[in-house]
Amino acid sequence: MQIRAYIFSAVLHTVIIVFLLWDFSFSMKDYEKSNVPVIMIDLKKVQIGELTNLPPNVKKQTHQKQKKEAKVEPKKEPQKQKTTVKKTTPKAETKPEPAKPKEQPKPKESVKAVEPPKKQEKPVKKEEKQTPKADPKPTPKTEPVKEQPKKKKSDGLKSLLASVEDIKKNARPSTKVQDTQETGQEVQDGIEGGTEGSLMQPLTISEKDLIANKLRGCWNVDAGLNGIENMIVEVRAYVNKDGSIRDVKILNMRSDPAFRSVAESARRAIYICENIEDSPFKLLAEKRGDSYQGWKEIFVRFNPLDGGVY
Amino acid sequence: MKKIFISMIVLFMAVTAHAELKIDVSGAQTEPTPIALPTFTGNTSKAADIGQKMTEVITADLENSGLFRIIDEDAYIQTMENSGTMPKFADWQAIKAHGLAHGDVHQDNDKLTVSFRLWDVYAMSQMDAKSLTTGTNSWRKMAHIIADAIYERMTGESGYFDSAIVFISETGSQKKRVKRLAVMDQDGANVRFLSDGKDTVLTPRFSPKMNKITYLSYKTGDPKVYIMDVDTGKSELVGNFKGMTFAPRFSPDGTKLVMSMAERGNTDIYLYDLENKTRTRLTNHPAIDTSPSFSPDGKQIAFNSDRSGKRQIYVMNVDGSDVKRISFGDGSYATPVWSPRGDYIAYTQIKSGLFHIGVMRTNGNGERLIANGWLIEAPTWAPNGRVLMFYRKSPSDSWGNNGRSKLYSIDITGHNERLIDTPKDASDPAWSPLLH
Repeated sequence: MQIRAYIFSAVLHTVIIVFLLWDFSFSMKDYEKSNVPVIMIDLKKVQIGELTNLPPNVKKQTHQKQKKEAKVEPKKEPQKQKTTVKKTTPKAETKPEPAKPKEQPKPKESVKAVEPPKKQEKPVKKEEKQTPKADPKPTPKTEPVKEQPKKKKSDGLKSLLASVEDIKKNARPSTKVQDTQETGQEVQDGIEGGTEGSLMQPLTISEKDLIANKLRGCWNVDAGLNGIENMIVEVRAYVNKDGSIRDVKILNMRSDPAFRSVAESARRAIYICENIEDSPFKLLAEKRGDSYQGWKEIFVRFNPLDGGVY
Repeated sequence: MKKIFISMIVLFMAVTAHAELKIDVSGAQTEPTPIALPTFTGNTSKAADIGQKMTEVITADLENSGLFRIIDEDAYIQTMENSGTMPKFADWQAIKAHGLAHGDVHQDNDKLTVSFRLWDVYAMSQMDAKSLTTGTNSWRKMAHIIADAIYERMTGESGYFDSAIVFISETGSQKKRVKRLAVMDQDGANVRFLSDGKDTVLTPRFSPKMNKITYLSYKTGDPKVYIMDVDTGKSELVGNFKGMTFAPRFSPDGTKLVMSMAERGNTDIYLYDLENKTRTRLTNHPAIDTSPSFSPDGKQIAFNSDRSGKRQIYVMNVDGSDVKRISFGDGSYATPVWSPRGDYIAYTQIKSGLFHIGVMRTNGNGERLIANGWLIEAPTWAPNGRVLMFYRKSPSDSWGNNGRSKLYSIDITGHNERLIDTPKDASDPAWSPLLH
């Protein structure tokens, strides 16, 4: 028994020593290699994708493309970008006009003779919790009848998407049109191909920004509410796979009526955004349908004043 | 070992199952909230007529606040038969209504019962339901109460529509100006005159219980402070002091009066106990101390004084101790008025040849001008501390002669300035507390 143990120990030690030698031999080689003169790499030629968390297969493709591109002489792109920025800068600032007083309709009541102000009969106030006579169950939610033109909202989203597209174009070297298109395809692969089947693939920053911007447009608050600067509302939206909202829960409800009003407006914002054209939730269903597990519950933190009110 | 491995897998799966997307939304829109308000129905033709009028008053109240927009009834898809009708939420979502308020009027001889409900259209839940009973003549008051209920539930702040304004109604030429005490609803309806105009009257203020009005009158030649009993219409001189008394205001509990008194050429602030008929001197300074106004908790008093050279705003304890200057801007400051919700002091500022109405925090921070004009004065707070009313005089010539004097309301954000229509010229408004 003891002999077997000695043999086992000896074999194990031998294996460890072999591994150590193997490792040291590599290190020595690396050290020798490190004495080779340093090659300077132009960082401008390194392409940085604007979409984060690209899957490895896309990264590999990008790397290969870069090798090919190295032969092409780069143009002076940074200067071009600067010019573009100048062009987009607004020339004149528009000052907000003060609100003009609107005339109220004339009171219909005729002017009465001298009368004390408290002559009116004080109504008996009864607060009751009536239940509606009709069917007490709320009507199941259906798609709203699209009677109102929604062009304005969709234009807003389109312009937002267009601006995101512009940023993409500007950030990318435009030396080769073909290359730009190919890179676009890589990004597309990153979203639709690379993430396919991956439950935990997080959304990109630009995708999150798009959702946040849409929600901000759907959220309406009273800027003059007392203490609004301290009212941050947290809600959790439960989203169906088709992008419809199953439920919205306010996570940090307070008894303060003003906070309740802001919290309810935040909850309403989710439902309003569900029903708008180009709903961010529908967008998720369309573009990120395969990673549903990642957005079936959305935690939203509404901060009314942090980003300013519009 | 096996167990640990399995538990690790289970833990990983649990974490995966609870993975959620996190979004930060910073900033929001501040548009008026769209509300659907179908005309209130009635069980008789008279009730239907009252329902129609009540709907108009509620609409005007909510829209005048600047916080709501009533959606045109032509756009409504569903017809609401009465307050018991269940809304088809999709129909109201389609017209982008955030809230739906509907009701009916039931008339039984001279008795009216109004029932209404408020719904959150998107959350598909009832936010409020009330049933009110009153006489047929009080339908307007009832409409204001319902507007207040909608405002309160939607904004989370108390309403102000069921309230009154006491003001000075002005007629006649500039040299022979007739000034009368008058009272009206906050929306300009139901104007009633409380004095005949023989004596010039100024700066009226309601008592907290609304049963009294204190004001300044030149009845005896010199300006003196009086108190009128609103029910009987009788007035009484406050104290029998040798000097002039002016700028009176009730304490929040209504038991005292704070006012200025000028004796031997010096103006100071005094507290007058209405029960004991005694006075207490609060300031003792050779400068002019005037325009005192209580904080809503009754512990402090804001006033203006020229003790630093120019008129500035000061705050002191109710016993006259711990006087602190809180305004330090250009020009001069006057008529500080403490907000009923306690967060702001409104004031008049005169600078660069113009009058301004402004608000500042009670420690002097956050100074902000919200309105201006050639002559713009006497800010007064709505009972919820959200809206200010003041008067503005616009002269008809460059010398400042003639012209009209009118009342205006404005939101404390500086938006939504609105003219309050009065039958004659008006000045010196003072808002009452909430009536219900």
